[in-house]
Amino acid sequence: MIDLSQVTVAFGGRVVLDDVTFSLQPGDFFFLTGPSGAGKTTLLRLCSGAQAPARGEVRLFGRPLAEMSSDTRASARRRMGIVYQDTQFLDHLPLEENIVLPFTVRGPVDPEMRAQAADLMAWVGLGEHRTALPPTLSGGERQRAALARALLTAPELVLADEPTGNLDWEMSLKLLTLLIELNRLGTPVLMATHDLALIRAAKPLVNARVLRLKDGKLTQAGAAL
Amino acid sequence: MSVFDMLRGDPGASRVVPSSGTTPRLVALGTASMAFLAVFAIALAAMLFHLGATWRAELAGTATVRITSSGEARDADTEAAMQVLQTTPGIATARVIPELEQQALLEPWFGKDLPLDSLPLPRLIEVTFEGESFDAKALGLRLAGEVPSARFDDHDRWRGPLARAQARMSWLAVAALGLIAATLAAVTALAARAALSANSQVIDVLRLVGARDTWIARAFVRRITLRAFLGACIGTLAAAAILAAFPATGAAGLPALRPSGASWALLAPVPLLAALVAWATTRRSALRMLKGRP
Ligand SMILES: Nc1ncnc2c1ncn2[C@@H]1O[C@H](COP(=O)(O)OP(=O)(O)OP(=O)(O)O)[C@@H](O)[C@H]1O
Ligand SMILES: [Mg+2]
Repeated sequence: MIDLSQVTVAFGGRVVLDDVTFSLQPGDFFFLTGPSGAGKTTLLRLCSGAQAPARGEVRLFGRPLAEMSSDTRASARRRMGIVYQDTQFLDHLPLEENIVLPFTVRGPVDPEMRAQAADLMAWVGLGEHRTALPPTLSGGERQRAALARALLTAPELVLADEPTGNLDWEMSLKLLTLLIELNRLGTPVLMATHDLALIRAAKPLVNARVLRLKDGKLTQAGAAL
Repeated sequence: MSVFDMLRGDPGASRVVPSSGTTPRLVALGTASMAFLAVFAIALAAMLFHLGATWRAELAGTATVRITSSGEARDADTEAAMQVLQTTPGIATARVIPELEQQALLEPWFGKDLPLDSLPLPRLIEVTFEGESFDAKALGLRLAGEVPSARFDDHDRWRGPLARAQARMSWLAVAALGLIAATLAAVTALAARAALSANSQVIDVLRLVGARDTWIARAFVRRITLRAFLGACIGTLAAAAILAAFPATGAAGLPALRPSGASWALLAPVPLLAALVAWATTRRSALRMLKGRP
């Protein structure tokens, strides 16, 4: 569904991703690890079409990113559930408006969609905060909200950048279990995380592979864990 | 996305852009000023148009024949000229201006006690035509052939320069309107760029959830266009109020600047045109700017 082949990304002459090849297929569950600054976010941004490679080819749902118009890029993103690492809310709108945003940009929002959003918010423990403005929420609350929004539209694949970075162990496990459930139904997941304990906890539940980014190279680290 | 789509409204799209910032207020102020100026340019153009129409109406359809001979020949020539005029198709009336009337015409210039008999004054015949397409040149030639002492004047030499002066002034008014529209376009294009730059995080979030560029642009365009429309309404009303306070009759031989009757309707399109200009330019610059962002 997403294919990176021999992709290189450099910022100001500094190579962040060096000749990286990666493919996300239905049913896949990948953990993406690596030291801070290794390029995990950059790789996820490539996968969502938000970043163009300097060399190599990115294909989203079979289509080369380089040949996609901004409209087809937007259409591709509608098929993805994306959680970014930081700022991803409209700070002037209440949380519930932020959560239904994927519906808002598609067309009129009907009460059923709002009900779905409310259910998801309650499930991630944000039922009390529906009318709160995003800047007033804690980091962990925002992360849960971001995941709720990413899953609202039943995406065909999930890209999540450290979705549990600010969460306590219990909430982290709860969200991980949700992603694993989705994966069991066939939705591929690519999740960047520093949390090795979480990866170990996932091991008995899902046939996840662990990828490691270091010095611009992507390697499989599965056996080492 | 048409103007109508935009005005029909999309509550989702209009809310995603924060309403803070001074840009919308500056747009309203700029558009109000431009609309204000546009109203006066239009009033001026309408006045010039009236002036031209009045001049044309006064000069068109009439001509004068002067009989320059004197003494007995004068009466005979007058008779002959009248004969020609009466047998020319397309002439409505031909009338010898009586001496008393001629005296009245000259009185403002020469005073009351003008000894008309002793002056070699030409005799004047006033001619009016039927319709506009009368061939005055042919009549002039015929008169010159049959009555050599008759001088035919169809006022053509006045009409030309007056029409040219009026056309030139009208173009000036049109150019002023064009400049006003261009300035408005520049103001709104800058406003769109400023609004998009100030809201780059909003754009990132909207892209993240799969918004199309046209949808994102609409959110910005709608806000700026509505502001421009509001500003233009205020500017137009203010200018109209000032015009309404002007005297309804002109001075110094000019028609009134204050529009009358149906001419007021000429001002109605100003806010709509301003909104249209704002819509087109903000949309263009917003889409361009979005295209330039990854
Ligand atoms: N838009 C950009 N312009 C310049 N440099 C960038 C840009 N985006 C990322 N970088 C650089 O690329 C490198 C990789 O960044 P990236 O965000 O992908 O790392 P990461 O693995 O996600 O780190 P972390 O674990 O801290 O989130 C960093 O050194 C970062 O400074
Ligand atoms: Mg990162």
